[in-house]
Amino acid sequence: MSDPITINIKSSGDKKYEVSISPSELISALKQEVAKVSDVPAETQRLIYSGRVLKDEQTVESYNIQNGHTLHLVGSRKTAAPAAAPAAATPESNNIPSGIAAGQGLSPLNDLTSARYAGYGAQMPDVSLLLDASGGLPSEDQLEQLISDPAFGSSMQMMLNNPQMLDMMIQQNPMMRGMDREQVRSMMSSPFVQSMLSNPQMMRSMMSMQRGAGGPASSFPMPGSATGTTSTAGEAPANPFSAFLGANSDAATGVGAGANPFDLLRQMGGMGGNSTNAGAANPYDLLQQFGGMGGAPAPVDDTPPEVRYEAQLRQLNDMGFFEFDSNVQALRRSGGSVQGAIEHLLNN
Amino acid sequence: MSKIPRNFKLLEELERGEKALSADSISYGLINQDDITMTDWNGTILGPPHSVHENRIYSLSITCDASYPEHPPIVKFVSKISLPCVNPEDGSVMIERFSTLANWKRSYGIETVLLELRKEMASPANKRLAQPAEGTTY
Repeated sequence: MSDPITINIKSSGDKKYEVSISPSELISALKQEVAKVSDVPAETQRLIYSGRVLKDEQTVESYNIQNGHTLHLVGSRKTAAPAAAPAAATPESNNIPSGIAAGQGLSPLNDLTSARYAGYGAQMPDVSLLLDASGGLPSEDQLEQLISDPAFGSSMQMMLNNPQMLDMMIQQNPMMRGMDREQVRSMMSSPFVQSMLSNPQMMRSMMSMQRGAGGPASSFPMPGSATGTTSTAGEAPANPFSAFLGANSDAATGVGAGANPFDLLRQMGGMGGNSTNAGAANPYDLLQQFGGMGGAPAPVDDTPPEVRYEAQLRQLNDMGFFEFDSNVQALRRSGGSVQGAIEHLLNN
Repeated sequence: MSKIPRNFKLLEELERGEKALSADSISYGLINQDDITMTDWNGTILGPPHSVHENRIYSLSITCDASYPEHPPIVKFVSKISLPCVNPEDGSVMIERFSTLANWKRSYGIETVLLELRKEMASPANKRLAQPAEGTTY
């Protein structure tokens, strides 16, 4: 038996231990020693030395571990892993932002308010400001102004280019959910639809078409759903746009999806709210909801803030804001926007 | 400015590896302690948290040939991993897809490579990639 050597053990969270062991001992014996000084049971320990995971049946000296050398200790969670994996996999399989699964309607907007989109929310023209207190419709000029705002077009484009957002819309729209996801997605990301939705001229002509279809007093029927009931793919041919949308899409179902651009708009705008009542849509309403996106109000739900704002809180933590209470308060004030919350935190 | 000779650099790296003076999340050392040329190295990366790699330990082989550190080492994953810069056939890290190797600097070391690979694993684009079963090797 050779003289025992002292080995340093480094564990996660800067915890350090020291164990003495004879070099002729097996690694399994070393793990027992480590278990005595750490809170990690021997069977869940993984020891790493010089880029190697140590095997139980080898001896300490076979790895040439010398006095004063350091091992890494990693605890495995073998028991917890199988249970946790499927749960984590489910939301991913839909590619829906995880916050949605947690009942957090705002989550896709998190992406837009994340650092990548910094300043993005601020650029969004807020249509609701244009409306007077009585809820009257904005004047044509005001809408004109909104849709010709370059920020509006680029916002649209950005959303259509965001696959998560698309998936989200598809998921939320009962009409699209029934259809082939790939088809809808390729449809939505086709340059044609994108240019249509982000082109002020196109929006304008659609709006004037709406005006022709019904006076301000009657509810504006959606194109493609003249009866005001929930739109279905079958109604799509009624839409005057379907003809040239069809030119762009080779499948009939694809036409149904793209044929109703306002519906899509509403899906985008209504993220935070109830966006599945397809009937009572008028384009102003859509635009209003859409414009409200920058600071859309959080849906009323009683999920605890740490669940509802999980992603945002993590982002804030990553940025160095560790005060839970004030983070939550700031997120509430900003309606879940990380950017807004940071502004609030920095100003207080 | 004088350059640190290959052996001095590698000896320093060896000591850092054995005494685990570098970051907690990585480890490296010579495959064969008697290898006086210090060519063949083992490396491990502890999977970054909040990613699919969390709690996994990835083994790599690193070859620092005679041209090191003028030229980057040859890096290969031994544990199977799905990462854009890793050749799915044999686990080798493709130089042209991994900027640390492509834009190699003399001041970089094995530690740099492992830490940058770990960052790659944790990047938003890669941290949710479906991964081969744990423990499988190339």
